[in-house]
Amino acid sequence: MKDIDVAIVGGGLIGCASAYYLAKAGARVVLLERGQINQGASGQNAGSLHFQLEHRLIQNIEQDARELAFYVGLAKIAIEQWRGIDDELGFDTQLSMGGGLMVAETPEQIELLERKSRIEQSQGLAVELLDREEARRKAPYVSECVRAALYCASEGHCNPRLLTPAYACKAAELGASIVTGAPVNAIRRDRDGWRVTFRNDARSDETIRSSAILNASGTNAPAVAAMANLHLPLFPVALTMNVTEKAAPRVPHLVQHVGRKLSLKQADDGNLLIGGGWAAVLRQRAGRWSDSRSPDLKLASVLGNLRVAADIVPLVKSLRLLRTWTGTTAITADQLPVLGEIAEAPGYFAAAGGSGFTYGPTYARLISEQMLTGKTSYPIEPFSPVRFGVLNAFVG
Amino acid sequence: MGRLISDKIRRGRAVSLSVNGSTVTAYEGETLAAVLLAEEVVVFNRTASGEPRAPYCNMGTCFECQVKVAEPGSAAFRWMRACVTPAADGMTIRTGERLSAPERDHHGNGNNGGNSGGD
Amino acid sequence: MAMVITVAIAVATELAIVGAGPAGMAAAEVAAGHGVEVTLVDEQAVPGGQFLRQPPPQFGVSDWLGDPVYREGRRLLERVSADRRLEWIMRSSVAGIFSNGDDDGDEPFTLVLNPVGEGDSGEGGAPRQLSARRVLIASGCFDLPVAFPGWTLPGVMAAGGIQAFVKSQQLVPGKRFLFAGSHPLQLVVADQIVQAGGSVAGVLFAQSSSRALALLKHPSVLLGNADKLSQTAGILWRLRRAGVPVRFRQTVLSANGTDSLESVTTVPVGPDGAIDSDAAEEIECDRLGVCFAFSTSSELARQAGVDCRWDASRGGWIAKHDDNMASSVPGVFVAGETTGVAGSDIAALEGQVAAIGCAAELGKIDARQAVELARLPRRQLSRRARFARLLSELAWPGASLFDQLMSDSATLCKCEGLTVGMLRTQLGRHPDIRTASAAKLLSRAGMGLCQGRYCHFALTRLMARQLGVPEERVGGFTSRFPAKPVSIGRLIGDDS
Repeated sequence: MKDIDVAIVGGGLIGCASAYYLAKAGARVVLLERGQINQGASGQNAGSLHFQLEHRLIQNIEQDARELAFYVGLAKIAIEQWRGIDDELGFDTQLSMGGGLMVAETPEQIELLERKSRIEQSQGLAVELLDREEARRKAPYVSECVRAALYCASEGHCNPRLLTPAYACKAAELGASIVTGAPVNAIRRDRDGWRVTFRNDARSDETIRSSAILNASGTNAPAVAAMANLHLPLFPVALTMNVTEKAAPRVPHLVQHVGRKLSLKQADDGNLLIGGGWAAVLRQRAGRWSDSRSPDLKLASVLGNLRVAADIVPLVKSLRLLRTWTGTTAITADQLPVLGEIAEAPGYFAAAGGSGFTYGPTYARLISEQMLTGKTSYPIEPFSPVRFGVLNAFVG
Repeated sequence: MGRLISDKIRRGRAVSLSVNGSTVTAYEGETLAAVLLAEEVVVFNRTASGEPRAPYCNMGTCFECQVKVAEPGSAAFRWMRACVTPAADGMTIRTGERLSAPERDHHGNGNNGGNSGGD
Repeated sequence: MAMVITVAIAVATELAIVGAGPAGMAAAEVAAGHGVEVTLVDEQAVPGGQFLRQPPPQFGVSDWLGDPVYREGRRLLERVSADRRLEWIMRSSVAGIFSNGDDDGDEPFTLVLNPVGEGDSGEGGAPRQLSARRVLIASGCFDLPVAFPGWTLPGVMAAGGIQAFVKSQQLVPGKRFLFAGSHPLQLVVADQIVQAGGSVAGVLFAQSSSRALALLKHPSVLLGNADKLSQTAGILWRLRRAGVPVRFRQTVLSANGTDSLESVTTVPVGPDGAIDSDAAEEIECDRLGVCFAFSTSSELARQAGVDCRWDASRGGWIAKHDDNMASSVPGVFVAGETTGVAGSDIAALEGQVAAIGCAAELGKIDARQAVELARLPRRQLSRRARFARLLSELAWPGASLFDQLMSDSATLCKCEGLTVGMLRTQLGRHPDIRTASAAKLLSRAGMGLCQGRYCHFALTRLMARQLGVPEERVGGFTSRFPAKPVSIGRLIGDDS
């Protein structure tokens, strides 16, 4: 049995980045991943860096204005962090921050853009409302349908295939132990910490003792919480992504839509990635959700997604669809992340949900600060699992 | 590098198409791949790094035989597989064109893993 | 041959058959005979598949495929082509098969069609979707791509591709040909080239003459349906008369040239299977036909969720099925090379059995009749299948040969410009990468237009060898919609 400071459960972006930030501060870290590094949502998402409030978040914009303002504040520090990420990791993650447009086609959508921009500007996020002509001047590839766009110069994309492995490599260099193919099967309270049992390479159970646990298991986070007799109300959602053949460079921005589900960008390799939150179908086994195979593709989602893409960026129609894929991510009922310590279980921290790619490095940095010092450089209380505290008042 | 078999064969109606600016006679029913090989075209396209490519499978699977084609009466060129595209009167074909090159060169530790995902 | 093909604007059918080769045609004939409404979909303009790759309908070719080896197949093709009960959707592949739910409703499956000719606007009436109560996937196979230095050079082709130019386009695609491989098809193609007046510099078999001879006695079992043992003798005699050397224990080391093939470097293969690079020779030619084996086209089946298993010598990932040729997905049947490469007569028999299974599921015949009807084709199948398997093994040169040809400078993924050496380096840096899918994400291998069809075997071999695990453990690339790239404008019905 080994004694360490933090046992991280989950080898996605948040887990690997946390391993890096914790190890960098000198903590003794073991990261346990049941499969391979980056095999979940961290590697399956399309790599958008969207700092504007997204389509999914602004459906009840008046009601949620306070939480949204807080969320926008997080964008500002995330932008700073992204700008330095390649230097920090000493690696070309194919980061591009060439700006992003959220387009509108109707007067109602323009109105929504305006309301949204007021929240964003109030928090100091630089966004600029463009009329039809300005939008087309900035983005000549958009169609006549676009009547206005909200432009955020910091938006862009990064390669999700590269970012998480880069964090993992860097964490390992700093002494973190990254163990793959190591499913955790028990987490128990110890006198002053935790005992984590996992299946090792030799297919036998191994237990480590750690002062703290970081549950960074994404869609599997509720199950990893249950191992410590805790509730974590995150839910799996299945999404669809599309990628076209390579094209000459035409779309230097991230393109989103304020009223329809769309995210579109051109990767460095020339392929256009098209997504935006279109549903796929979670598989079932024995009457329960199963993540042993990726979700089933819905034809209607592919056609719907491509229809929006073609309406906004017509050059899409001249390209061939090369591949589609589905992935699973985890969200909470209020769509905000879960970030913090579970009050009923001191030393048990969770970090999951809520635009985990754009904000993953930031969540990791903040949760690491909290684990190391008990304080954070940006307040994370609104994201704390304490908001679900009632669920854990009856267990433990 | 190709020769049409003429013994016991009747080909389709003669059609006229443009290959790299020259007028070429072909026969209805011929694929562009056959027309181009009969015209001694060697390089059908070039990869982003400039490597020459030409038909490999001749059954629509490998995508090595792509050429730029504009339909009769159209000026819009699209990549099409020569081996499954029949010759049509008035088609314009460009060969040896380069497939889309990436936007920038990557030197990130030799790793060029792409952001065009899926598993 | 009189071909009357109705290009149907079908939107719904009882049985959709994907692939109009021997398996699909045989299934169509049997199913239609039991009153099943059948629609065949094929990427080519005319039926026949690769085995009976027809000239275009605008051509008149007398004595087309006059060899007795094609006789049975030609008869089937003639019958099916004239069969007015069948609906056809030609020049279209199937991009995906989607299940409309679990219920056994009217049309449980939607097939998304992918018209050939990405920019071709001449097919305004072609349907884009086909719904079906049952689906039979008979999507055939393609020549196994083998990675060696220079294999992507213009002039190097799959032997099957060369044959299709001769059979269908009536074109001899080269001046001086060389064939290298281990499969008897290369003798047939060399013979066809010679008969068409072409020049063949040689046919190289990687096997010993004794092993190859055992194989050459029965190539018809692998290639076609006629049990004509005299076939090979005739081919060998004609090649000898034309002065074409047929050599054993020889193979290709590299294809050489700047913008096109100028010569091929060949090497002897020792009794232990090791190639001897010191004894290399150079043969001048402008066309190399590569002919080692075939790779199953199981991408569509896998996209549809059909369980597959790995069998290298029979085509890689081959579809599993039961006695009725039903796959692991209820309502989806498989037949022909999709279930393992075994030649056209076995494909046709499997097609017949599948058709009987479909007819029974659709209530056209009862269970007892189905058993009765399937008895004869099943008996023929079991007799031939064992023999075909034996011959596949004889034709298989062994994975270690491919490992030796795959030197660092050889292109691995032709679409993404990745060499064997580049992949080896990347895998060396990431010892935790242990599956083909993970290697794809790391290296981009398999992310191009061919969707990994031309690198997955080489990548799987390389990883299996490097990790010391069987290929099955490395796994395949996940097969996704669309099974072949599809024009987005076409897909959403907006070509403007």
